[in-house]
Amino acid sequence: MTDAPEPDERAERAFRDALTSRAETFEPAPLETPEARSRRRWLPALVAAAVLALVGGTAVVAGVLHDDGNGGTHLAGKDDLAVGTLPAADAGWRWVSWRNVAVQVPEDWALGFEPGADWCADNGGDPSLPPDPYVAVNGAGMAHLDILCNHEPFGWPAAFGEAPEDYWAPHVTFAASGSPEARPVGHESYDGWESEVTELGDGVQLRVLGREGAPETQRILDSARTYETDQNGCDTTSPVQAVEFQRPEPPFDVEQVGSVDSVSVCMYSRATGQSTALIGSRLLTGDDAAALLHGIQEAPVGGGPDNPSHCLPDDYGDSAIALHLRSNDTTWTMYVYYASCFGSGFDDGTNRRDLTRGSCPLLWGDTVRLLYGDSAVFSRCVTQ
Amino acid sequence: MSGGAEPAAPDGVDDFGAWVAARGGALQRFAFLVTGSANDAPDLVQEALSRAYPRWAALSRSDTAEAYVRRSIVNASISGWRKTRRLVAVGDPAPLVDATGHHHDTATGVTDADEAWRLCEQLPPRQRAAVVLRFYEDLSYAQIALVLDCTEPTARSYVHRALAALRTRLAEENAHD
Repeated sequence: MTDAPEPDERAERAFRDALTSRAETFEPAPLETPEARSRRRWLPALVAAAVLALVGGTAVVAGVLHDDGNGGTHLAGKDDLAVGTLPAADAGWRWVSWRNVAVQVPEDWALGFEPGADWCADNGGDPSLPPDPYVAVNGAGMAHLDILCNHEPFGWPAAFGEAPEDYWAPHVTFAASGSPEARPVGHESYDGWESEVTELGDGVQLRVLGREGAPETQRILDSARTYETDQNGCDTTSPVQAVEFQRPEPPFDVEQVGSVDSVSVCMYSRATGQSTALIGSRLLTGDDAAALLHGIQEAPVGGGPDNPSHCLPDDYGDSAIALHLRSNDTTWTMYVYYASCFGSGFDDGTNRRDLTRGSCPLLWGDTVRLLYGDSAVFSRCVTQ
Repeated sequence: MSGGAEPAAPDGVDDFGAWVAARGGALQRFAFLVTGSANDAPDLVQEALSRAYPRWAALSRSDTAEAYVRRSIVNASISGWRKTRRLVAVGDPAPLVDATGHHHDTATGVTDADEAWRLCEQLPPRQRAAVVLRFYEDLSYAQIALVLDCTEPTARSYVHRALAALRTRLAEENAHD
């Protein structure tokens, strides 16, 4: 007698049978290798030739934007380019960056979140309008309501997103190429607005939305460049971006640090699978830097808060922070974990310390945002 | 490909052409299973290859070309799905029936695989891609997460929810038999 298959086994087999039999009905078509097309479409005049800038005596090549064979542009020859620290921004402008791509935006552009597919969610009667204009904080991994706001195919190009025109404002967005947040590459116009979506650096998609003919749009695009260290002293890569927990090297004891001039707060994605993972940064100086150091030193040794039963054993969290404490010529590096339900805390390589209300809230600001995590972490890290 | 000592062409152009020749068919089948459209599949793959070519050197070095191209295919299928998800193909009444909350046609000959494919057709693209990667491509959850640019638990959740949905449908089928 043969036992009936278990329900999971039956469902799994059904999927396998269905997919295999459907795949067998499909006849692949001949593909064109795009090399010829791409070579033909190089647009040397698209953007000026490689921009050479001398920064601290180091030659910095911002790169050449090329047609990518798909209507868009990308920084070509990245692997051959020297890149370094971002130079000072133009007067009245500031750098915003993500992963290894930076652009300058007008200084008064606020930070905000781009309305997503859940743009129509009830927010106490008021629509969740972004600032006008703004720099969009990348919200990948952030909770979204699973609701369908667009009941019909929307009439505007996909590059403009799902939210309707009332929600549009001039802004800059970064996203990972090929990610759910990515949009079709190219230039689109719609009802007095224009959108430019291009790909640069290490798989970074840069999107600029502006009112048609606005001079800022082209100036922002022209300022695009790659870099290795951003304006806040954060490198584009860090050991802390590994999926599993890491400990900083070399170890030190934060309690022995007398004072600091500044602290670079560098947030890294641990879910991108890309080499550059810097997704947020800020620089604390003066009293703010001193307060953070003091808060960490006051935090109990041990680490936490943790609620291991709240998540799966291999859910280490999607982001982490590297803190660079600087005093004169000395730099100490700590790691901060907060995005899972275990392993939370400050780590100087010698001790792990708790995230406390006297330390953790000082981490967040600018593009360093606490977007998801365990409730125990939120209760200590978010002041309200 | 011969295993001779022929030097590689500049920029890995020969590598890219050989890779496309070797993987093009499988990538098109993947695109077909994710979209359900034999017409769209070659275009999606062609578009994904166009995006991969400029960064081929880095993709090849990091051994992430396949994941990158598959991710591009899934992403493009999402764009298409957003535009057309309210359109129901004539001749495929299953979605209409589902929308009413009623059971499928109980005509004889509906197999588990038929039911599984109907469910696939109704899954959102990322979840459908996860199912294809798991049960057709036999990828691990870590590999699926890399393709879909999500965490491993999320990839696992996509697949488990799809299995749970199919399990429920099959149980309902049994109850009606």
